[in-house]
Amino acid sequence: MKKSTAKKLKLVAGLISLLIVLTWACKGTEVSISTFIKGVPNAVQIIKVMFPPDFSIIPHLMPAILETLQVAVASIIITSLIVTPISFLAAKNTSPNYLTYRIMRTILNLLRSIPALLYALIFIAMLGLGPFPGVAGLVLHCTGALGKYFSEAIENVNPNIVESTKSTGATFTQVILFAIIPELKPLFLGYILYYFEYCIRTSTILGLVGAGGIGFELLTKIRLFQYQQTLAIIITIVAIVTVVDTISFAIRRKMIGIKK
Amino acid sequence: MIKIQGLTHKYILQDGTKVTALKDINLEIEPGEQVALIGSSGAGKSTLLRCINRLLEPMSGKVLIEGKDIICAQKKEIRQIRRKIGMIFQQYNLIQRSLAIDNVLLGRLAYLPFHRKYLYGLAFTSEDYEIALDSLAQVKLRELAFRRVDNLSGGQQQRVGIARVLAQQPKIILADEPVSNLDPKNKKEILSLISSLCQKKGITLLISMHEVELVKKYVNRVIGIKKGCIIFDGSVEELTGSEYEEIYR
Repeated sequence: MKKSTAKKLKLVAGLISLLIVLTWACKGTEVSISTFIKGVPNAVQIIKVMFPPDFSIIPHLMPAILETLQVAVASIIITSLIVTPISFLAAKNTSPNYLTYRIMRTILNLLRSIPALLYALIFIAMLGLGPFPGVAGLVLHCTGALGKYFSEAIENVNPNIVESTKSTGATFTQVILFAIIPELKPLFLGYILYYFEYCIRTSTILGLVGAGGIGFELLTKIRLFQYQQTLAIIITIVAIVTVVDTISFAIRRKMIGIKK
Repeated sequence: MIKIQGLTHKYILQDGTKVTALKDINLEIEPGEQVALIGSSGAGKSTLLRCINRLLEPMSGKVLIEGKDIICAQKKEIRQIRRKIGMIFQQYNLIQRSLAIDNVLLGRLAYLPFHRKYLYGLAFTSEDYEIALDSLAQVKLRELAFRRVDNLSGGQQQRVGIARVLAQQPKIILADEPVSNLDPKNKKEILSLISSLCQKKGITLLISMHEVELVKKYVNRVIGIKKGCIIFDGSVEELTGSEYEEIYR
């Protein structure tokens, strides 16, 4: 009896604190249902002018669409090449010493904490407008994020295979190359594909800050109030992201499937 | 072949206390001998085996392999000594997501010349592959060479483990409870396989077991370990019931 009363009290207290936090956050962001309802006619108006989408511009957009894909592909490949060796320095069990481990972990944490879009803005100041700052931004952010996943995977690698490979007389680098990397390869590829999906999604909006790709076209069309073409571009972006996500998800599932 | 003098090892627990795992072990094993190391869990069997190829750093003592002390050896010398000492593990310790042959090729790592040592996919020559396939043939697993290890049964996985050791072309095999995870039929098969391979090639075998019963047929010498000390060292016939009980009490 007493126990259930305490449980109820806990639940009520939890709900009240949730309500307080929600009110605080909504007040700061001016969230209001009435404003939303007032805006519905505007939304209807915009949707009306958006239809039918004007796909005639898509052929002209092919270079921008290709550029978006190229940004994502270049970013993920460069990231993978950088992040693999770094992760071994940032994993407790393979780092040469504690200091290197701490420094590499800190660098990865810092890299990860800044969003790719923000990096792109900074790199635009340095490299000028265009897709290159976008790639640089994606590489830095993804290196931080993938580095964390990779190094944690390395730390959790089965110590038995390290021991058995060492027992053959292999050097430590050989243990990494011939035991740890083969063991973690499916996991690493899975993470890389996952971040490739992220790169595709992000590269479609990098254009908003001037870092190349289809996002720039999207911004232009919105600014020119060409809503039918805007919708066509949005549909194209959704299509690209969906196709890439589906293919990559299928590959990832297959890799995990084989594992079992 | 193996000469151990005054070997002592202590584990340091997280709270800083030291637990003695091996206490002043003195032991000599002749070339070609097949020796069983018996004792209950935690008696120090695994610790002793791992001090011999220096996977563990003993606190003090000497371990001479063919006259060379591995305890005071340099890194490169340790690797050269380890190359001659194959180790078979209770959990097989294979790379689950690799092919059987790739696991066996690991036994060749220490033989690679410098210019191929780190060539990830191109390190091994056809000669290495031949040795690996031949090793798999010796454990009767030639036809499963290109199967992923996680698709193999426990007994087959331990055969891959033995093939990896054979690829090292070792002079000594250390087997750490190699059949503890297997069913009775596989236990017998694997033990007789290890023993006959060692006999054929004149390899010195040191095999740790929970019980002596299974291994009696194959070894000519039994060493009983209890609480880090050797309390019995003699032939199978000399191991009487009371001494056997003493080891496990």
